[in-house]
Amino acid sequence: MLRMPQKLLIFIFILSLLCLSIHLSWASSLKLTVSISKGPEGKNLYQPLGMFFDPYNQRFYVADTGNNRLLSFSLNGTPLKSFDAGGQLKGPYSLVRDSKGKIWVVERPFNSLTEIDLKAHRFERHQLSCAGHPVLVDRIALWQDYLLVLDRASGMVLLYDKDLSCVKSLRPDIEDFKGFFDFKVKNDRLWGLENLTGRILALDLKSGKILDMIRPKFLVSLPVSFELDNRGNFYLLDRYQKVVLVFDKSGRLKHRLFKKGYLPGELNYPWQLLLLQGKLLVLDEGNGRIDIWGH
Amino acid sequence: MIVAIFCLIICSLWAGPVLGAKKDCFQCHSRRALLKGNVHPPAARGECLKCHLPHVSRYPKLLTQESPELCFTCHKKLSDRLQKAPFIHGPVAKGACRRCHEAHASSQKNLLKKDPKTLCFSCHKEANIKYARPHAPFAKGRCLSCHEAHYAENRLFLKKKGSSLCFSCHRNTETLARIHKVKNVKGLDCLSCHNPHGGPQKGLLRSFRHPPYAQGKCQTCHQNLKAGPDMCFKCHPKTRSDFYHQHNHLLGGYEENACLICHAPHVASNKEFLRDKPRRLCQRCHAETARQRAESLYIHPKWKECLACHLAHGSDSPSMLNGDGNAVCVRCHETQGKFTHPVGEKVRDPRNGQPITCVTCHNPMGTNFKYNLRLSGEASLCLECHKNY
Repeated sequence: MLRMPQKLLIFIFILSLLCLSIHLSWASSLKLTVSISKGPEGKNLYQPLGMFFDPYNQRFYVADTGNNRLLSFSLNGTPLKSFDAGGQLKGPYSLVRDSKGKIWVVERPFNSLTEIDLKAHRFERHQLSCAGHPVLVDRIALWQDYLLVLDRASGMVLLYDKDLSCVKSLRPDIEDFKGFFDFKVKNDRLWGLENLTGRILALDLKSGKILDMIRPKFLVSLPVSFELDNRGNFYLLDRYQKVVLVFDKSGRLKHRLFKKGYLPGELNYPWQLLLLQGKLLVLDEGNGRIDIWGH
Repeated sequence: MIVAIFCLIICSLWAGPVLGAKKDCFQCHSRRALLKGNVHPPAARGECLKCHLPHVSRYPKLLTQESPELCFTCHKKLSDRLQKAPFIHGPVAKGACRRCHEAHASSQKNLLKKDPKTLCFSCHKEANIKYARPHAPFAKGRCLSCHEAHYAENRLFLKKKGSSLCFSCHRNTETLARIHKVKNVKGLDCLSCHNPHGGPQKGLLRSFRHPPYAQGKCQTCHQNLKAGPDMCFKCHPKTRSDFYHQHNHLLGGYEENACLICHAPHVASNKEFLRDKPRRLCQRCHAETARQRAESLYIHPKWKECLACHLAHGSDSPSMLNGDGNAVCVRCHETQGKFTHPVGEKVRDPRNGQPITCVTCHNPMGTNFKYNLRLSGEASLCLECHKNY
């Protein structure tokens, strides 16, 4: 007969084994739950390039670039609305929706940050500059009351206030910095994916200091986007290899997810990753699709 | 006495096969013809059986193993280093040692088949150019003065990194610093301005001169160095909008001025001021394309002319193609543009609902199927969409 402490020990042991197995296999056991290829009116997406999740209304928004429109979806993938600003919107590339319901869209053909206020029926294109230099507006994100803009001309992330004044530029203070290609904001930290190298850096958004640096210990070809989960894993999207590479904090490769192809769940020209509420969203430009992976 | 007999037995056992091989092989195979000039040490010692079997073999020339395994039985250091080398010369990677080396003897050093210049140019034909002012090692055919033959740390197979190779001969660094108006020559990128093989003018400067440099107006650019690409856009304003596309090549921060990743600021060998020929320049970042090419049986004939299909600054199409997946191909393949499998906006790929284009079925970067098809054209490619056939 086992005594009580022994039983407790065995229970703890089994529990930790269970936790460990969940921890290790979360990424590898992902299953395709939904594949979104059409908007609410049934029209196929064409070369979509931007995704944004709005925590206030639990919807995610897609910049359907090739069709010059924005789409909204519920988290289970149901198409909700389509919007093209009465035909004014051209080549939307990246977007966010702020706490007041304003939509900010990057329109690449105009190199503009376009402000869309649905309530006020306002549609205004802004040309951004910072410290006297014109900005090549790339991906955008929100943090507190600031709009964060990746400047492709300098590789830096720029902070803009409500009046679109450039208040700060974030560049890691390291000599061999190669510029950012993608970035995420999590817990007052800016995580940035470096151009071509696959290196991911974490900066304190307030001080700009480097807090973390992760270098993959394997060859990446064309890393274009990334995500990080609360288990400390990093997901790196390699557009050329058409895979998502999962690695731990030390940069050790743990999993290779997905394969190239045209069918739902396969990747053609993947462009962006989004991890939210235990689901991994993969935006695929070539297949005109968003694949949602979960359990 | 016993020791002497034992020694005699050992000696006869050791010498027997060797002397036997020497005698037996050279009875038919002329020693003079085989072992003339610089001789491969095993051949010089008459150790024919190190490489050959006397009776039968599954390999040509009665070899005991195939190349390169046979060569690596002795040349172990080379074998080990190749395992770690980032860049391996094509014939070496294929194990074709005998493409450059003789097995028995040669009039050349290192048992080379021909003198280095002739041998190198037999493959690298594009490098066989007659210059008005050739670089001395190039003129003398001493390719191996600067280049490694087997493996290297860099794509050009240079013996040393960057300018340090140049400074191993051009040692008067004080004079060089004065000419280049710098304090320390170590930071100079010699190959950016000088053609290491030769050129039309003194100093082996590349032919095309950037106007501000040619006019001696250095400050036009140098006073604005911190402005990054803006410095270039000041004089090239139309180029700025080339980057206003969904995909563009402006990798800000990769260098202080991202334009200089691809373009040379002073002189160049082409009117676009590219730092190298596109096939080499592009591969500096897109190394995966070279791997795909090496692993593919069928490659587009213009594979090396990247800019025939891709735009260098920006494009709205994936892969920065110069047009959508039809337009880019039809530019050359006119007939297929008129008569082909239905393509275009109204013809949808059942797998993803996207318009069918040429690149739906073809991959010009290289595949293992005829016509650069993505799968076998016999059936499997068609069955991807036409399931009921």
